[in-house]
Amino acid sequence: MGSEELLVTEGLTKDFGGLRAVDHVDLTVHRGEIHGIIGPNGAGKTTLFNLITGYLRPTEGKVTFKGRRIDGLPPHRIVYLGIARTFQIVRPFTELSVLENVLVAWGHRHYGGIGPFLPYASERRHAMEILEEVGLADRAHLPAGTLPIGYQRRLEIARAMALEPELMLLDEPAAGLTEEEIVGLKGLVRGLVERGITVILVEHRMTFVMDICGVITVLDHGRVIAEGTPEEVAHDPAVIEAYLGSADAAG
Amino acid sequence: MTLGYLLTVGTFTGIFMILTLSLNILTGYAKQVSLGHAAFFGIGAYAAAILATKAGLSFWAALPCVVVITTVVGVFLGLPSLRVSHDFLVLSTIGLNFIVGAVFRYFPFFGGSMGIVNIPSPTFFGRPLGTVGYFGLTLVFVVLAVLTSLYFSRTWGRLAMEAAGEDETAAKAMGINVAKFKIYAFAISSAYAGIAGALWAHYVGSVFPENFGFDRSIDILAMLVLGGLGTIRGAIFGAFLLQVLPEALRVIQDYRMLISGAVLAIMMVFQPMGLLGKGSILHVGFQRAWKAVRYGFGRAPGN
Repeated sequence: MGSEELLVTEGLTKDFGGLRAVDHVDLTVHRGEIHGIIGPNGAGKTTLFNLITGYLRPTEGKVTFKGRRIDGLPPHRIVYLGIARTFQIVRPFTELSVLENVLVAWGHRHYGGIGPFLPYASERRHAMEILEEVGLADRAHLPAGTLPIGYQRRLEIARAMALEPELMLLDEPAAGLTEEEIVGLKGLVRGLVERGITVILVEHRMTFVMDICGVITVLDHGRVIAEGTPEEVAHDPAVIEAYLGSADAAG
Repeated sequence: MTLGYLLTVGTFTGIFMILTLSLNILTGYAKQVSLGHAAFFGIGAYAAAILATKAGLSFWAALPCVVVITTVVGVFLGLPSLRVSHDFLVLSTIGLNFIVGAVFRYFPFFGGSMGIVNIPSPTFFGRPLGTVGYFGLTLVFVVLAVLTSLYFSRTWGRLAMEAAGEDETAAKAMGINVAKFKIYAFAISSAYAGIAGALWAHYVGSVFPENFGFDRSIDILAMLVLGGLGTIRGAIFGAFLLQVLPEALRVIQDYRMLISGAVLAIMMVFQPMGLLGKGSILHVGFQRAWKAVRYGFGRAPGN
């Protein structure tokens, strides 16, 4: 594991009305890691993602990426700084083709200045390379809305790869996938790390998380209750209680 | 039918083609449904009328100013789209249409309900453009509008607009400044509408508030929806059908609004992608026919 601190949150807190969804979370993600975030439903995992990626403004606390404060920046600015994300519920641009979906993301370097008024044809090849890497090349020209869920998840990751981020946040990438598809997904995520991308992932599928993550942070009621290697976390009494204490037992 | 009559129909059809191409950027690509597009058209026409009659500018000298004025006002009128979306934006564009109409009607500067008359016909190298010349002029602008639209459809901007129009949350995650691209859509769309307005004002020779009312907006949207939202061929085809057919069948001329309304309702229910849009019956049919011709009948390509 690399030792450079890539992303640091300090005292990160988010209130929705009277509900504290994220409660003074201190998280440190090192470069080159696959960092898992787990916890029962409603533990604040997705809210944490939304705080890091600029979709929500923290009530308190700060987020630092490569030593620079990013809380309060709009989502598209955070993308430019090198953080990409996927969504728990896939959000392909259904009317665009699979290839165009990836091009939209690849285009992020052309959305300023006169860039929007330049043709994209010359950079189609880059998008095709990414589609080949995630195994969607033969479906490049289908409307993205017609893909089955497993492929739509791959498309989400392909789009995030096209942003060429240093840090990628995957929100439940294994949700709705078959065991077979999960094997493919593992390869895909490990491939991201080989490309030099640091990964944070929120996930419910425990075998997947335990298998792939180097570090796991456990959230419950918006608070960090444990952090460590998969073995450490799995044997932590607080974690066992949080999971067995809720109706939603780890599977 | 005289040639002059045909050329007149052709000129008006051309103006509406530019308008549907204009709406296609805003509603087809950026998915900002506008039921007030006649307002942008009207702003172009009034800008041209005022520059010609009060400032004494020629058509050619005024045209760049008209485009700039319409674009600036269009950006301003597009600002509500940053706050409201979907159904509420549709309502606010209807409101804009009535506001712009009221400004034309009640401010003496715009001639009130008497409109602005005696707008001179443009000249070309010192000679006045006749009916033939004006048709040619309109045709040139239609071709320019088609070419620039084709070009734009191949740019990063079109991709970003489509993405932002379909899903703002996902678009932001792709590094797209959603607000900026909505405003770009209003700006580009308004520029086209400005040219259409200038062509109208100088051809008809007068502008009145009722030329640019809500019913006109419905007409323009019906043309685009009939042809196929989000496609250039659809915009051109829709404007052609709804402008030329009523002329050919004079009897139905009096029922224009009925036709536009019915087209909108029927297309939305049965063919929301339009006659020539992506995935429409005709488009799929043409693709199959083309493949049949290319690969030989009876043999399906690939599988």
